[in-house]
Amino acid sequence: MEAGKETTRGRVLVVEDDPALRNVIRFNLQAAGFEVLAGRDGAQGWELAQREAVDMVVTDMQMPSMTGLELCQKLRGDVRFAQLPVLMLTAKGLELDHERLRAELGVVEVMFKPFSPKQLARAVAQHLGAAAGQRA
Amino acid sequence: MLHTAQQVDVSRRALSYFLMFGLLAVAWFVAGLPTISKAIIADQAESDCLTRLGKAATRVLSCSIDTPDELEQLVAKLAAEGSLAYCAMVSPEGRYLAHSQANLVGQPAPEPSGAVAQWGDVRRIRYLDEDAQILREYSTSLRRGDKTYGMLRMAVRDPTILAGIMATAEHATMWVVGPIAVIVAGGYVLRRSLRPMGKVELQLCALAAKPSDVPLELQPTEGASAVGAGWNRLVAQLAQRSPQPSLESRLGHVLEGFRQRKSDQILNTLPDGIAVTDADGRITFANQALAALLAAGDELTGKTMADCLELDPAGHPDHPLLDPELHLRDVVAEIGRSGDSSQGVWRIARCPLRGGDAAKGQGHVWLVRDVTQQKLADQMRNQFVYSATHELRTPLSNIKAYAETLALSDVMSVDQQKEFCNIINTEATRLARLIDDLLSISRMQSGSMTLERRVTETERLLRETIENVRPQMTQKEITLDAHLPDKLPELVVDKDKISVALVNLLGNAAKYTPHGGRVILSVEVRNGQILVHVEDTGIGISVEDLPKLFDKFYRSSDPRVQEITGSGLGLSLTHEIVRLHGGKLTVQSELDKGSKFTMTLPLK
Repeated sequence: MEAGKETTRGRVLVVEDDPALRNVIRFNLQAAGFEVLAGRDGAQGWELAQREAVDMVVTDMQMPSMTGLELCQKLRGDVRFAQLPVLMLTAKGLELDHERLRAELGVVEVMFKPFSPKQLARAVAQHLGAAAGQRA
Repeated sequence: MLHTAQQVDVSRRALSYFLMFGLLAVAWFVAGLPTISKAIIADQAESDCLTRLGKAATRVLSCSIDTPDELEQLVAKLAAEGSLAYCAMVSPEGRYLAHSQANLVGQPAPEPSGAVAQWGDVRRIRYLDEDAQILREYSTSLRRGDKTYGMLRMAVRDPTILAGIMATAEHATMWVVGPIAVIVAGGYVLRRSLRPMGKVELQLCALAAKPSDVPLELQPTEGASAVGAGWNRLVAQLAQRSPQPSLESRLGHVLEGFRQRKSDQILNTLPDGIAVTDADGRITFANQALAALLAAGDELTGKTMADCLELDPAGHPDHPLLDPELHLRDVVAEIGRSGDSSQGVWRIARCPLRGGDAAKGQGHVWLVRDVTQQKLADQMRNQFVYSATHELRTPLSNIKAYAETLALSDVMSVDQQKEFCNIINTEATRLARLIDDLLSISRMQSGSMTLERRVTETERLLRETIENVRPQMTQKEITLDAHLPDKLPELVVDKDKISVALVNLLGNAAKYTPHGGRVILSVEVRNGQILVHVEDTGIGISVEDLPKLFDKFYRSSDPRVQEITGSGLGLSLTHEIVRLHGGKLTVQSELDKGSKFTMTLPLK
């Protein structure tokens, strides 16, 4: 978990169980100028979120030991992370209830696999900017 | 021809005719009798007279004809002896020499005129005398030698009819009373034997006189005759049938019953529950399948379907079967038994019976089908489709992500590019293998999976399998212990498929064993079989899940299993592969302790 470039646009926590996908997301976000922390499942993601200050979370939905949904619920249950933007990746299709995810868990965007890493980087930039604007 | 009701019956008629003709015959016979008697008497008198004449001639000749006194006495004596009308001796000159009537002696003897019959010397003349009496006079000439003495005449009165009657009356008992007695006896027998016929005839005639739609009122006859017995039987049978309605309605009734029983039988053979309810919702018919579904051994008739199905507005608000708006419409709804779909789902179709009260209808026909198995199969299939698409998407996402990154990124070293290409290659391989699995399952389902057996080095096969799953193990820091005997016999198997089976077993051990666990692969050879054991320290399998473990698409509902992606096909495929090789796959497991799968394959 080495730090990214010297000037970071924000710190992004990536939680994804598939190592290949995790690596390519990290590569792309780093290339877009974000600092990236990565966890292999919800439990590790939760641990990292508590230990390190993060500006945004990009998480997979289905993961062993703790799913993306459970991670989300845990984050929203903690005041420190109440406003933290969460972007969710999922291989699920239409059966997912977007509105419920947005309304109850504050998921700012849902991306369906297979997704474009460039688009993901753009979405992260957009939501981090918005979050920064809110904070300011 | 119709007769009146007061008609004399056939027995009386026959009797009267019989008596009439019988008595007529007797009368005729009796009437003839005096005439016959008279003729007989006349004949008797004639032959008597002829005999007397002969004898008298002899006597006359033997005594002295010349002595008139003597002759006179003889003639009188002859007349008295033979009860003759008269007796006379006539001289050749035609004078009476002697006569039973003494005053005529010496007088001329006239020749009477009448019917003459002649037998030799004897002549008979039948004539009417002065007193209008028929007389028969027999005469013969008296000769001795050449001398003719004269004629001897004897006359008898012809018998009158009165004499015939008198003669008949003597035997009246024999001639009249006997036949009459016989006729009367015959009449009695005739009447007796015809009496039943007469009663039958009277009733039939009375019947014929009535209009055809009046019910028959027939009386049995008494007596033991065959006709009576036959009639009585006829009457009894008619009496049995007559209270029944017409033949058509009886036939209809019988057929109705037959149809009812037949359709009940048919409905009882159906596997779906069927019930018919009346306008008040009470069950009037329920087939056996419904009783079995409801586990109701007792009578369902009279209960309501809502009670039987445990449907109540509190427990099932807005249920379409309880909606009064839908009362007269076809409704198809599903209900979960005991509110838990795992205990069963029933699909209920309800059709209203047309007619009757417009608001209530005439009742409903209900069809209840247990769709639990269907639902489970649907769930499994949905899960399979979901799992399959998820499994396919993961390598596809990686390929897309890496390919796009490679194409668009300009800050990348050659080594990094190579690494990305390798990853794409690996993911493509993973995708291809997944598609192979899906195809295998598809073939397995259609029953067209075949084996390509080749001689295979067992140890090499096992080593390759271990290398295949080692990254998975390493990632979860699972220790893999392989206990392989030094010399393993060769196998003749479809290497690719056995490899898939072994990878599935080891892969499952890795998937369902927590971080830092342990997996042991051991091999035994005994009794011409090779046994491959894969033992893990994983989450184990519950007793409920064990029987369904090898079912296609089946995945445990244990949340720990649900967390892990899988198609539910791996073990099913493995089991099928081993079975096709003539081996078997067994499992021992304890929840939270671990599982041990054993693949047994024959060596030859």
